Amino acid sequence: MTLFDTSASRRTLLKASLGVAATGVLTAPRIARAAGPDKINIAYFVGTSPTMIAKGDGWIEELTKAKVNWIEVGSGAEINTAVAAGSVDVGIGIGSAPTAAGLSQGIGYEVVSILDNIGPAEELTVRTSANIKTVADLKGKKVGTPFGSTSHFRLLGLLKTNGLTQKDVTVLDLRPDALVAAWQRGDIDGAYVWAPAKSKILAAGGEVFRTYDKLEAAGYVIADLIVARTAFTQAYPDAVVAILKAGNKALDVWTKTPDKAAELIGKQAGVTAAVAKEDLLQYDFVSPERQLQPDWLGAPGKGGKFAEVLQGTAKFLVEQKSIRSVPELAVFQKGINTAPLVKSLA
Amino acid sequence: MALRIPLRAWTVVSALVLAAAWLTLTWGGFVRDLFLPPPDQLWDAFNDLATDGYKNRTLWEHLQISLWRIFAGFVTGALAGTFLGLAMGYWRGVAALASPFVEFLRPLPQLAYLMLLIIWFGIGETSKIILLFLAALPVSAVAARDGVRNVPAQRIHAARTLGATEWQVFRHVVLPSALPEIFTGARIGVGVVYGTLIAAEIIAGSSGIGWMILDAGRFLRSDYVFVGIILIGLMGVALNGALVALETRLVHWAGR
Amino acid sequence: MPDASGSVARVSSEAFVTFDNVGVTYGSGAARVAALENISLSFRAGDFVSIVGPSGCGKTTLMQTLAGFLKPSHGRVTIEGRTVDGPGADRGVVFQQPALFPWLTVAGNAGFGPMLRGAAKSQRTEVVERNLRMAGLWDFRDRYPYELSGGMQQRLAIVRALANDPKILLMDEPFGALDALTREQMQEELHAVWRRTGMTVLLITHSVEEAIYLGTDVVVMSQRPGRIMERIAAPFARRDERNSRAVKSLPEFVAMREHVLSLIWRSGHS
Repeated sequence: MTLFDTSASRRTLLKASLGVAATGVLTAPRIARAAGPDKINIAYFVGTSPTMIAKGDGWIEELTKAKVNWIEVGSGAEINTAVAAGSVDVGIGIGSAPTAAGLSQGIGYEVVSILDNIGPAEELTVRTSANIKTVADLKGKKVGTPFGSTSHFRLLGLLKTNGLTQKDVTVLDLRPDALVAAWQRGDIDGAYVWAPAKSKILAAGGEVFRTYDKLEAAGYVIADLIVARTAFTQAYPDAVVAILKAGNKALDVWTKTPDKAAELIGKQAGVTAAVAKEDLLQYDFVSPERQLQPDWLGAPGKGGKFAEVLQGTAKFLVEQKSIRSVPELAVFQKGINTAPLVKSLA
Repeated sequence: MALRIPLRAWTVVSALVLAAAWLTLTWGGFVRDLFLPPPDQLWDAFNDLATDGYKNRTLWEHLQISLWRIFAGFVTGALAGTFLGLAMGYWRGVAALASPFVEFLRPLPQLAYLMLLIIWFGIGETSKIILLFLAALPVSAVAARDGVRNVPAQRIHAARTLGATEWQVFRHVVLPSALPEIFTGARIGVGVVYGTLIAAEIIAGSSGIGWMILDAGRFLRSDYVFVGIILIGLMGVALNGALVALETRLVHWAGR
Repeated sequence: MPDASGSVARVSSEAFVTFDNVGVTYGSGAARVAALENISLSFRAGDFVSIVGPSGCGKTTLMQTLAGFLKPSHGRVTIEGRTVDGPGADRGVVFQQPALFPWLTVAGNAGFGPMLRGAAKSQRTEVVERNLRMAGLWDFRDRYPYELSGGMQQRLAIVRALANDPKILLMDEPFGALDALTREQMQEELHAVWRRTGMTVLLITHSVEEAIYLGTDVVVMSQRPGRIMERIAAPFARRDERNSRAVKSLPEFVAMREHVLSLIWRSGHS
């Protein structure tokens, strides 16, 4: 079923929700008002993010009255593949780079919220002893990053905006854990990555090489997002709203009682409260209200600047031969659906 | 002879049916290109890769790098494995010493110790080739060991009565007798090394056909993935063909 | 009629090969099997000794102790007074299956022994050519064993064993796998080789007729545990008349055959 055009499954789902009473053949979860799903497949990253509180305390299960199947993933690419295959309904924490790729290739999902603006949380770290003071000093050095990630996107942006190519700097594809190993062995002199790998590298003879502010100004904005399969949102809009509500509530806990939140999140992520707090402080968790401003996702029907960010990212990915072509801006604008976010604030 | 023609016809039929299904599903619009790219798109992707390359390297460079890794890992692993296996088959003591490790290593998924190899040998070519080496070694060792153990006792007896010393028995009887099984092991070994290539190229990639498939897969570039799979498949068929040709020349007497 | 006087323990001073009270047992405890018991036997250089007996009588075991593949549990086997303690080039062995080296050509197989000895190339080619011509295999010298018929393969195995000029040729059912016609032909060839070289031969066979026809001595063995029942001197091998059909239908040949067969028959049903 999922192999075929999503419009087919959309039709089937529509039939499922509308035609149950009429035919009585198809079984739907609950025929009464506000039919909710029996089970929601949510992909997530283990990390320090307020949504971990919602997961840990079972808020989503409570609000949606559904069984939640939590699927741990290691990359945004996994979420893309899983949504394309129909085995994930909601992806929490997918990076803007894989999302731009996914929307360009017509994966049937929409951005329903921004989890965080990554900002300085993902940053270049260089070996102190390598004496790298300017971007030009990176010439002839080896820098590792997980390919296809937001960090990769930023690193390539850094090279491009400074007139360097991958002939000047060797860019290596390393998963975060391998990155730490390669760093400790002295195989690489630079790494572009996120916590906890970043903290480990900093602790092992590394220092931050600040790039994010200039890159953001140059349009290399990266963010972690929440995406939902379009067919799922259409069939169960209330479930998506409920998930976002849980997220808002969790963010509230972080903004109002950071220490308590850090403890809860740390427990979920398997780090101490102190480490969790330090990590959390690096992220700019964009409040739902801010997300609805034109600078970010924008209000429903109006559109915000983030569609352009996604398109810009996609253009870059085409240059990298990662994706085939960039669709027009409207595709990205249509790929952002803030209606559930608005409802989640009501 | 009469049997051969219909058999070949069946192969043609299955290829045609597959091609027809592919064309119908893709050009008929039943399946999106994300899931299964149509032939023209694959051809374009191939041309694109052949002219522009993939991420800072030409397609041929990627292929060459992968072939070199396969070659280096396979040759070293198969040679070491064969020597070890011959010793294991000939001297029970060596077998007792080495068997636990070989038998343990053989079924072990390479991804399980990938991380360790990176820590021990770094992210360069060494760890990749060692990974392939470790994949080829146990297969060859077991094949050579069994080859030695399966030498007909009478053949050894015959040599002894012709005056062969212990070393001569090994050199002139055991070694050639085990050759067919060593070759079979080598062919299985190439397959295993081939299967391990992608795992090897996960290590700090940005080169190799396996890495290309992996990286293209991250962005759901099914067209590149398919082109990569087809190339890697053809390469495997060619490699196996070369080994079979070598085998029929060197051990023409096997099984007769 | 068992004639014990002439058979057992006839160890003479001119003995070339002796089995001195040889016994072989396999396994231990309850699983212990005695394959051979109290074998005392000797023969002189130039003898052609045929050994017959029912299946499982230990004929092959007996040969293996002389070949040096098997150490006897009791007693000892000597050749020219020296105790056998392993295989050696002085004893050529031919098995029922030719056990040729399939990766070597016919010439390669024929010259295997001299090659191991490190004989000079010229000498090697000379020996190989002479032996292959004698066996009618010269035209096939560049072929591989799998390209030869069963009879030719066995002939090659004999040639290979002879290339070393062994003092004795041990043959374990060498013609057992051949068709009747080839078998008779091979018997003649073996006889010719023996007559020409005067070599000592030990032939293990199932065929009583073959044993009597080729052997100067026929040793009849009993059912397991193998013992020597009788040793008979056979005159036919030394006759000049080689019309095998005629020889095999001579009354004295038939009488001897019937005698040996009845011995075996009785041993199998005792």
